[in-house]
Formats: sequence, structure tokens, C-alpha cells
Amino acid sequence: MKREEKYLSLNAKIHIAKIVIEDSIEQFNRQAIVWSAGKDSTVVLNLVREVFLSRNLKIPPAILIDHGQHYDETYDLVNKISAEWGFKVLYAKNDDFISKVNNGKVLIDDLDEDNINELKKINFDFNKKYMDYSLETFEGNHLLKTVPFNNTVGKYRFDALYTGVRWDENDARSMETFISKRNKPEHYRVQPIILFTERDVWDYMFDRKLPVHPLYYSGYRSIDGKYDSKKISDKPAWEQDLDNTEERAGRAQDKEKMMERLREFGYM
Amino acid sequence: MDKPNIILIVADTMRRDAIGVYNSNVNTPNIDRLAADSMVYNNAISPSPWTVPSHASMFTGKYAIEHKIHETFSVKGFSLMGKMNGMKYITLAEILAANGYNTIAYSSNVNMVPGSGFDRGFNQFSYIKNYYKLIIEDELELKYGKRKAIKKYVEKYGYLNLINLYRLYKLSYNHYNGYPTDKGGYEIINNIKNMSTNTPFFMFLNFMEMHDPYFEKYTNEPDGLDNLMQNRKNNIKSIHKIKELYYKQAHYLDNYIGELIKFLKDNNIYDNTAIIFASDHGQEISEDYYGHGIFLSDNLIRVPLIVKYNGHGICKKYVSTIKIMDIIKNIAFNEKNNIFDESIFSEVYGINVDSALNYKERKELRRTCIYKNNYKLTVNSDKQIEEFTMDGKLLNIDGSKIVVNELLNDISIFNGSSDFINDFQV
Repeated sequence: MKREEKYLSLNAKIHIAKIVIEDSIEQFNRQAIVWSAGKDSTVVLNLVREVFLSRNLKIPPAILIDHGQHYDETYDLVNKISAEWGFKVLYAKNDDFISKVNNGKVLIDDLDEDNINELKKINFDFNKKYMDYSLETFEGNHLLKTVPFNNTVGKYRFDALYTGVRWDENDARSMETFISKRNKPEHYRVQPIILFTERDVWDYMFDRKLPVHPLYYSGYRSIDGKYDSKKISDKPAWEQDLDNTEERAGRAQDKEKMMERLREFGYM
Repeated sequence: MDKPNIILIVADTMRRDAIGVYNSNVNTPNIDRLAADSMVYNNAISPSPWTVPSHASMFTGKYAIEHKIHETFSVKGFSLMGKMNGMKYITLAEILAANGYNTIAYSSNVNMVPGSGFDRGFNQFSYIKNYYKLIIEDELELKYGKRKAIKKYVEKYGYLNLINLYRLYKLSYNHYNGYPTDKGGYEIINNIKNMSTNTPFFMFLNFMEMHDPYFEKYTNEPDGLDNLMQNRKNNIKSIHKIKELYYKQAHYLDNYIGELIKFLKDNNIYDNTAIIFASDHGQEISEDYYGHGIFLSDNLIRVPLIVKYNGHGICKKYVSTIKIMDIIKNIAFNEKNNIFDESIFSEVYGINVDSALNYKERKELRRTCIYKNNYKLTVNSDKQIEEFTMDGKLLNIDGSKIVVNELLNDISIFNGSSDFINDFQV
């Protein structure tokens, strides 16, 4: 069951989101926004920006998980928005892994000690000599997203991260709270828009005239790696039947199923 | 084998170059013998240049900007007393006590006393009196000796300093445990000799012997008062004398380390006892600046770090003493926490005591420095770069703008919501 605050107005949800951000500013010193240039994290970015600027604080840096498979349009948008709004972008990237990709595969023996240790941690079957350069396998997601992300959080010692997690995305996320604690590295996730529905996100984007990733126009509902994001319609995302179709239908469904296990190791 | 005992020795105010293993010109045979059994860290960096934030960092694994137990432009010195009680992070002693360790502390530093919050998690926390204790407890007891000297002194330095002076003056005649050579060490060792070693223990020791003032004994010479307070503009001659006394103190403290090790060996627990020897900050002894706090020079923040546990050798990688928490967790719980960070920081938030005596030209500024890829960059809240060096050698900023800007960028992110350099770039 998707969890939803069905009768609460968007305006109220925006107020609540801002209260959560205010509270986070009171509690934490070193905050960052987890940003992909997609719709949800851009909404969070804007909410954080508004609250920080109203307090004369500079906008905190953004972390972009850079698995090397982003669309060119994503990098363009990241550069454009960060330059215009004036905040830093930190690219969380597994350089070792990406530098060793050959024909879409990586020879396990080529990986450095840190990556091997990470594979051990998730009980990777070392009888396999190769792994795919894919975001949709458990080990690919772990090495290309979770590991560089955690390294970046640890390296900069961020104590709070703003994310665009929403209850209605999928079941695994429906138990999320506004602020929750994570370990290794120890930090807090601040999730101001858990109450927003997909429709709320679009309404807010257009109301605030926020920059929309061009791929949403051509029908993508959810954007990540260019080899894995698929569209299910040619209509712009916000014109599709949001209530009766799956937002992440274009993403590999196996991955949606492995979500619980991914989260156990620190995935978003 | 039983859980290892763990001893964290903080030699307050000890510079790295006051120990033989780091500087062959000084004489510390006992510490050197310990070092021969240990991993010696050649590039250990203290996160803050004075006692309170630095100890809070060792006890929590967090920087001052995170645990917030640091001075500000309005809150300094003893006004920080007690803040550790409400500090939100779990402490080393709390973790070890919860895991069956008997947690014991002997501290002769007045900032770390029972009730200060630094005692969190300790089953027993003993404060070993030295002169500072009397400054606080007997503040109202000031009497009327040496009237003329007092009058002159007040005119010159103000009333608060007079109180400090009076205590030192009184003690230098009382020969309290050999003060000022002995600043509590004798009593710390005596206490240890009487302790039980039946259950695994974590023991924290703070020795004050390396802390100022440094003088042999009080005299009635015209500069005698200033000598007591170390309260003068130093010249080359006096600097030389103070340095000589400072390294002599190292030798004196070294004897106590020898006695501690003898105690462990006599009780057959040396082999099963991990010893972490470190300092909270160094000491600047120069014509420009004498003391600690305020600045982030290498003499203040490059500190000794010697870890006796499973193996010996020399480690040249940079390591922050905030990692003492992880080092001890690795020892106690067989964890494998990485103790080496790509970037290491140190920070200071302003003068650390109320009484700024001389050095009126010194500026109360926030300062943050970063060590990364052997570079060191220090920047202050006037957006001035105070130091840009590699392994202690001055570098030209104009020739390395890309590197400098990257380091500034990292400092800005480290400072987080209380950043003071914003988008400053060279």
C-alpha cells in the first residue's frame, strides 16, 4: 500500500517541509542536498534554498551520485542550476570502477582493494569473474551509487542530508520519517517532502517555475542512468495518468524488489 | 586472551619535537622505549590548538565544529566549563564503560574535572590538584601581601591577572609537589600504583608538566613577576631560556612515563595493555607568539602520537587525533575503522582565555586549516591566507591557484553552515 496524506493541501505540505528544514538547520552543522537534477530532488533543493536564503545562509552543497551513465542533459542542467543559484556540486563517483570498464563489463580482479572489500561486504559471488557496468544489479548499484555516496558523506563529514524521498514512490519508502538516522557513516537523512505525491511535485515545479529536466517532456517519469531509464508513454510526465500507473514503471522492476536489501547497505 | 587494557596518555601542551623519537636532540628515554614497541605516527594533527576542544574531539571522534565544545568571541576559557555535559555525541569512556571496561581518569588539567562533563562515562574521575585549582576555589581569599607590587601589577595588567599571579606567587613559595616543575604528575603516578588491575580498564591520564609557566623558582628580580606569568615580550635570550626549560620538562615527564610502564610490567599487564600516547596541542615559544590557542602553526597542532598495540613501526600518513576514538574502538572491539582521511582539519574560534595580556596585536579571528596531499593551507575570517606550505616549506600562492582554490573549497564545505570564507578564492 502506498502511504498518503490524501486530504492535506499542497500548501500545508510545503509549510511542513519548511518546518522540517528549519529544524534541521537548528540541529545540524554540515548539511548537503542529495540532488540528481530530477524533479523530486530539485523540489527539495528549492525548498532548502528558500529557507536558507531567508535566514541569510548560503545554500549548502549538493551531492550528485555520478555513476558515469547520466544523460548529457543531466550534466547540463546541473551546471546551469548550480551556477545560477550559487552552490557547490560534489560528484560522488567510483573512479576506480569506472576507469576499469571494458565493453560494458569490469573484470573483478582489476578492482582495487576498497571495491573488493565492498563486494565482500555484500556477499558477492567471487566465482563470477566479471560484473556488468549496470546500475540495476545489486552489486552494480552498490559499487556505483551507494559506495561513492557513503564515501562522499564520510569524507566531508556531512551530518545531515536532504533527500527527495516520498512515501508514494514505492512500498519500501512508505515507512520513512522526516528525519532518520543512518550509520556508517553516521548521519541523518532529512526528508522534507515525504508527504508530497507525484502530482504535488509537478504542481510545485510549475508554480515555482523550476527548471524541468528535458527528458520529462518526452515522457520519462523517473530519470537516472541513460541505459536503464525507460519511458512508458510519449506524453510529458505530468500529463500521464499519475494515479493509475507506476511512477517507476520505467525502471527495472527487479531493482524495486531489491530495494529493502539495498537500503540495508546504505542506499537511498 | 582477556580484553586489552587501554591507557590514553595525554601529555598536555607537548610538542612533537619534545620527544626523542621525533627529535634526537632531546632526552626522553622512557617514551622512546615505549615508541620502539609502538606505531609512531610522524604526521599526527590536533584538531584544535588548546585543551578543551581538542580533548572533546579525542573523546568523541568529532571536530570542534561538530561537538561545539569550543570558545567563541564571547565565551572563553572557564565559561566553557560544563558544556560537555550536554554535548550530544556519545563519548569514548561511555562506549567502553558500556562494554565492561572499568573506566578511570586522572587529570591534572583544571578544564577536566568531575562535573565538567569530561567525566562522562568514567567510573572514577580524579582531579589532581595543581595551582589552577586554587585560582578557582580561593578567588575571594586574596589578601594583602606585597602591596606595592600588587598595585603596580594591577595598573599594568588588571585585576584578574593579579589573582592568577597571586596564586602562582603563593605556590612558588609553598613548593607544592615541587611546583612548577611538577604539575600533578607525582600524584597521578602514586594513585596508579594503588589501583587494582583485576578487571580490564580504560584509563585516561592528563599530565600538565609540559604546560606553562616555565621557570625554576620565583625571585624578587624586577622581572620576577613577569617570569611567573610568562607575561612579557620575549627576546631571543628569554626564548632560549624558556625552550631549555620546556625540553627539561619533557625529560621530567618522561620519568613518570617510565614509572607507569614499570608498574604495568611489575603487574604483568604491559603486554596486554594498549597505550596511546598523544598530546592535545603543542606550544609556541617564539618572539612573535608565546603560548597556545589562537593560531594554527605546526608547533601548535603537529603533535606526538604513539600507539602501542600489535605491531610497531613508523607511519608517515597524516592522521588527526580525532581518530583516537577509532583507534581505541579498533583495539577494544577488533573493529577495522579507517583512521586516515584524505583531508585533515584544525580550527580555532578566537582567543582561548579571558586575559589577553601582551600580544595586543594578536587578532581574535576564526581560523581553519587543512592538510591534504601534503599541502597545508590556513585561512582566517578576514579571508587572509595565513599559511600555504608543503611539509613545512613555504609555497607561492600565485603559482598554485588551482590547488589553493581546491583547498579553500574543502575548508568552506568543512565549515558548513558557519562558514566564514564563503566563496573566497584566490
